[in-house]
Amino acid sequence: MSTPDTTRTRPDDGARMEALARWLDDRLRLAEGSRVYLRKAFPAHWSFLFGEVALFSLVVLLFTGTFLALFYVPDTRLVAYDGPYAPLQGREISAAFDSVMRLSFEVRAGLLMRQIHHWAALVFVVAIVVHMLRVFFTGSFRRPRELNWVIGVALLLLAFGAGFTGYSLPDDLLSGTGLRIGYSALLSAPFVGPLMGFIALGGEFPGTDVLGRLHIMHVMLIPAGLVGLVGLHLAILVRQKHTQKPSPKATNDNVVGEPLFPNQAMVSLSLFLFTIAVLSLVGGLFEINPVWLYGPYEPFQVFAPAQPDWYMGWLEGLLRLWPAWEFTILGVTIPSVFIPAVLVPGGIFTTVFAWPWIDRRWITKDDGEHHLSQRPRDVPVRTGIGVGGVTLLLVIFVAGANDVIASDLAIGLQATTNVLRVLVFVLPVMFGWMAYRLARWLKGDNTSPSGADDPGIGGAAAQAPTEAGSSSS
Amino acid sequence: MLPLVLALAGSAQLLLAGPVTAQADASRGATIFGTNCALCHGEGGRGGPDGPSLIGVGAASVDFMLRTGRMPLESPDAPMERRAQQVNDADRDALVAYIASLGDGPEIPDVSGLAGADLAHGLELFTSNCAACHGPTAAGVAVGQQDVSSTLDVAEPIEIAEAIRTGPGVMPLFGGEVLSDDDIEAITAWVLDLRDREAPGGLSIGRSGPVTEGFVAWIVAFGLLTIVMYLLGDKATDEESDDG
Amino acid sequence: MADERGRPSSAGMSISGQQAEWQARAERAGRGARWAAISLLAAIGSGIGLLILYVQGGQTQLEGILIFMAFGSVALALGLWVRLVIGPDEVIEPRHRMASTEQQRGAFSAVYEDAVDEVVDGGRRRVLLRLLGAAAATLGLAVAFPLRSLGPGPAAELFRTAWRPGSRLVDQDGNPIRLADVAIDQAVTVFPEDAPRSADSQAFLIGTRPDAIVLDELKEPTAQGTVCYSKICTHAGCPVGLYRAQAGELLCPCHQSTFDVNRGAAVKSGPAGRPLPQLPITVDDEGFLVALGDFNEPVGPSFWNMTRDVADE
Repeated sequence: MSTPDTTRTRPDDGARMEALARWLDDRLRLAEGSRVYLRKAFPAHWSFLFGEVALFSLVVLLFTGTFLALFYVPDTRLVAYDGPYAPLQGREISAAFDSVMRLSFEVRAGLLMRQIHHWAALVFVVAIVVHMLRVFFTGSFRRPRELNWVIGVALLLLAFGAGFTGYSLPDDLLSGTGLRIGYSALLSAPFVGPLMGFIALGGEFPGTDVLGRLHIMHVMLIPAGLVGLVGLHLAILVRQKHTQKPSPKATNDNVVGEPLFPNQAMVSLSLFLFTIAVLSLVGGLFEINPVWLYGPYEPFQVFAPAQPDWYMGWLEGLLRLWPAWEFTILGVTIPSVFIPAVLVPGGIFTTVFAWPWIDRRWITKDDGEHHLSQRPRDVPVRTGIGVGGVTLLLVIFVAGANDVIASDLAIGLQATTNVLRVLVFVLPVMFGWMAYRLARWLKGDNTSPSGADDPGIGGAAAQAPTEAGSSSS
Repeated sequence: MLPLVLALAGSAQLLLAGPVTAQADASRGATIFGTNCALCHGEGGRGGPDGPSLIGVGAASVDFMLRTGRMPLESPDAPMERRAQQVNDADRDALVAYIASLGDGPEIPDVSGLAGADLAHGLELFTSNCAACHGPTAAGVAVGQQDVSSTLDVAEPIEIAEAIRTGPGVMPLFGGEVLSDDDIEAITAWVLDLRDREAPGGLSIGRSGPVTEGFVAWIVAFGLLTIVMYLLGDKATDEESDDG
Repeated sequence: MADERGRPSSAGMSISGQQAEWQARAERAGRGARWAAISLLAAIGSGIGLLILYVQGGQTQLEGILIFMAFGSVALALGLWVRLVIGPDEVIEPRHRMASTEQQRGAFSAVYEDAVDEVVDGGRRRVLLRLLGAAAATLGLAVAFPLRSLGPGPAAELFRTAWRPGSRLVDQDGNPIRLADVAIDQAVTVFPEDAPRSADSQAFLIGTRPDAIVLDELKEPTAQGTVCYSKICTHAGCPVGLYRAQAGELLCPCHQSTFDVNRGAAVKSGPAGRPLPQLPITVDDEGFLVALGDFNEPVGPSFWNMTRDVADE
């Protein structure tokens, strides 16, 4: 017996929705699972939204990128420019550069899409980095989330790769210079370097295959990796449930949060639309990568200042700061770029990948299961190391722009470099130490600096419970 | 009748002025030089401990230095940088004539043909010869030691042409065999086009490339988004705050 | 005060206190709904504006602003709706240990081991398994073949450029260069006549100051002091494009290696590990500059076996 339903203003809509739901459920048995998920608890602190901004930036990238890919031509063959930008009229440029010029000057909304795409790429990496810092300083990478940490760092590397391959596609003078440096870094590896460089490019630099290969990396292989790993990252997150800040209500044995529907879904949808909005705003208002001013790539031309996109700045700084150490032992030359371009970044990323285990072994010394986030002050040692590490990266970043700084601040170029060489040692130690002391002071000195008073579930020797669904520790 | 005759006579005199005026200029220039410049640059422009020889530097070099206010310097240690012109036009021309008379050097280039110059050729030449030091947008860059290449935002066409021919300071010079007069006009025309042309992408934020773009991404874009996140998400309330 | 669902709770409040709470909540919700409605109207307006703009030809800055307003307004409306109209809510769920129970693990092991037993057939198929492993390893190696096909081996490519004895020096437009055309303080990018604009052969021809050049420190012949060096930086391969005439220095813009033009392009500062290779040049009968041979060292960034002698390969 149905009662008159006064909440529906359009009865047809409701009936249609129900019919659709029945149709799907008839085939997929969705009712029970959906019921459970509709009211899933989502810890909703605002700092948990950084990862979502990264995800939404990725969606914008995929959408705008598809549009760009429908115009871009990955070909190094020369054509004569015949478009409306007068200073390039008649100039012999690669078909790739020409396609980007056409997109920027002759396709309606083409320049907007290009700029949104590039700004989204920059913001994508910003969001990943800030998200990573949040996870790091709150200890949210601890068991059981080590796997997601590793996947996350892999995503960061893929984001670097997507950005580097992407901004090299227009074949302009700035990005071509960066490609040359990347190739030289490959070349520098002992024994296999020249072979790797020639395999990557299909011959000696610059060759004719490079744009096609970068293109496939950028539109097929890396996006597949990104989407796949993001999917895995989210699936693990759903399975393990999000961490939460501790409170009288929130413990290691529960999840306290906003329900998925309607609250969290609306928050996420709103954030998604805001991300599109902000990226479109900067995409329209701020010029980015004006390749028509740089001109097409010629291997015998270069200009200053020559910087890569921001997230490669640390590599650039390493190369500028590193001394001119090059030596030959028993006929094997170790080029001066090898250590700063290959070994040091390798070391940094190995440390970052391995951090959950480093943290467990030497800092917190517990391998219990943790679902409560910590405050930076709770683990002063980790916070000190983290702040020191971030400071080190910041100094190296600044070094990557040493010529821009030297000219803006009217200081000598070599002097700037030498000062930075000193700061690279002094500042991380200084700020790391200060952060450590501050954290200890905030925490109260009589507690452990390594956060060992929060052993989590399952303590030192992780023991499996003997009862299914045990909800008390 | 009389005004007409005088006008004709005056015009005739100007037309026939030529070497007579140049001579007058040069001797006036010698006087000015002796009073103001010889202290550093030596008698007859021979050079001294505080200033290089000016014999053979050519009219273009002197004209450039005076027009851009780089010369005269208050003291030999003062940095050479762009200022308002320190001498008046007549004195400048006189000095130029005087130094030019001391020896052969690059003459003042002709930039009257800018309107018909080939922009595409200018961009190509600028990228090959100039962008390495001046930047692709002529914004000025650190070029080693304390030196910074000029931004070309406010340079007059004649100054650009003169600088190319004479290579002031640490700048190399580009002689007639490397860059013809037409080439110089093309480069100058492109620099002016760069200034006048509206940036199609929007605000050009200093045109220093990826460095400033990175700042905008962090501060403007991510800053806005952070405000949004803060408003949308939960804040830790008193209930939830924990001192442990 | 908040109840366990995070909603304002009336526990422990007076009646008038409760009423005030509910009133405040209702007011907030009403306000939120009003502003959300206005935002949605703004979104519709911006959307229509965007359509009109697009049809009329579009303009990058206005497109960006209108998309911002359209999406931003909807986003704002949703945000107001969820935060003010609906208000905060709370659910609490239990969390289970991530690890499976011992029973579950045991049950899995039992099934798995049974299956493995069937494959191994009580240990009788060990040889088969080993052979399978070896076959898999071999096939795995074969995956490397497509990778190897992506490019040729370097052979002697890195040791040689297109410069030959007698190659005339030409500029980037292919014009040969006379010694007399090279003024002091001038720097020109040059290539071999047979390979104009060739990437690895690029060189910088420099009119040095006669009182500054130290010929004894140069490894190769010059043309009366006019010297020619490889333009490819020996650090990471960028063209060393900045010539600091007064100081006689070549500066690479990428990582600021500085080379002394008057002393065989020796490294003065910066991260480059070796000087720029020098091209031996001379003047022919007609006054044109010609090369006497290839550079004295491999050009570009160093690589592991560059000290190998490839004279006659």
